[in-house]
Amino acid sequence: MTVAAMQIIDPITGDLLEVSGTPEQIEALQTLAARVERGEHLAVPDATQAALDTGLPPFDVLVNGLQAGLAIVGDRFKRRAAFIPEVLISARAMKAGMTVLKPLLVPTGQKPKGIVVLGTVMGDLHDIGKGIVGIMLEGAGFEVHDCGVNTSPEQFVQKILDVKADVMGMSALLSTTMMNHKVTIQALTEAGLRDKVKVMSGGAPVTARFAEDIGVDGWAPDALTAVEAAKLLITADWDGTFVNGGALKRKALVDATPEASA
Amino acid sequence: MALASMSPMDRIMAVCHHEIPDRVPFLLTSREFGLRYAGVKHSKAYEDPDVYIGAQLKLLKDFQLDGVWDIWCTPAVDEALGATMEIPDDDPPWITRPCVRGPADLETLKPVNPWRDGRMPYLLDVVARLKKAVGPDVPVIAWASPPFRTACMLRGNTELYMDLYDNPQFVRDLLEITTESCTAYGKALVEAAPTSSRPPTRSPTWTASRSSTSESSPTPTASACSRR
Repeated sequence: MTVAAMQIIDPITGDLLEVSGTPEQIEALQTLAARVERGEHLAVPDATQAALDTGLPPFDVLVNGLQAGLAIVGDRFKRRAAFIPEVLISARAMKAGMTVLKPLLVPTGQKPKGIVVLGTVMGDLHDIGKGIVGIMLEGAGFEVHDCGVNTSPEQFVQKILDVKADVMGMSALLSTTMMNHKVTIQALTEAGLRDKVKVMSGGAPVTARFAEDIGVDGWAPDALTAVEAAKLLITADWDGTFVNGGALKRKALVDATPEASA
Repeated sequence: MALASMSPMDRIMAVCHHEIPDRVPFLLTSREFGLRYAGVKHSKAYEDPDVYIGAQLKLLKDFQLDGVWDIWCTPAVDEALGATMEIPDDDPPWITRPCVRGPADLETLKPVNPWRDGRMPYLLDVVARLKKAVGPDVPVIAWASPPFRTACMLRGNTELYMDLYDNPQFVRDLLEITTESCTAYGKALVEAAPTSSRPPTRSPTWTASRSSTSESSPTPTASACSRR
């Protein structure tokens, strides 16, 4: 069998990873990733199906096609060669592809990795970053319930109860509203939910130090590391130590360069 | 420049014009804080001008600030253009629902008149009364919504960002309407409290008003602000 290869960007380290397959599979994945990168949301469902038709498993199409395309934009965003609108249209394109993959991922025995409740805290109306986190979490196999903006502690509590959430993610973009992260955690404690749900914080003014001080379980500086942090928090191996998404990125980089870690 | 003590107005305007003031101006961003400090709820400030003005005057006195702020209502332009605005009991107002679903909605969207539409006349009245209360030596600092922000409020942030790619002409058309409306409100803020002949600041969305030399101007009332 003829084997071809392509390179995709590791969303955490930014390194190039090699993916191999038949020439048809590689071409289909490259086409799909390119369409996601360009935000061609109307063409992505067909391109997703075309990749599946080459015999690729749904999970491979997700990671090496849809996520790979978004990772290209994410890399450009980090280098300030792309901005929020480009990320949004690519995320929309990825979501369009997910409509094809989602029904296939479930029957293959892949239950949601976890159930996540997201929301921008009370008093804050910013939601673009949270929206991207939600899309990335869905792409990673989580079931996401978004409470929207200006979410009161009571609304967070009720949603967690309604959907039996494993993880709660709070976002704030204002230094004046970030204290509502702490208020929300207090509400969880009073409702008897604090030890039943993992809590993550994020947003521009929210630092790792602040997040750790107010008692959340994890923090991440961007959508990609938010997904990795969420994955870590719901594993049986998590020992209760605060998860710093920024450190995950650094650890991934260190692990990738043995000389640096020696 | 003389080292004699400046008035708050001169101090702030010196900074605005890249001149050296006598000392670093002290200017708290004090709208919400002022209401809480005065022990009043936000919602009351949007019903009774004296509630808000009293809160600002208390801050001015207790903290010896170099300026006071207009009542926060950047979303007032958005509301007058058709978005749904909520005034919570004890939080600043915010837009809960955009109103522009697509290009077709632009047909009925018209630039607003700040002296007549929505609650802008009330806000202009608050600014005018506040200016009269603090006098010519204390600046009243006011905000006008930037046109792109108002477009986001009317359309939705995420939707507008994607419109930049999907339909840039629609965004341009929307921005024409919001630019005219936001500019009109900004100019009305300056006009609501008589201004001096000092040149404008560099930031088009930040206007500081200054009293004229006439002390006999009556305090504008809400009805006086409702110009046709």
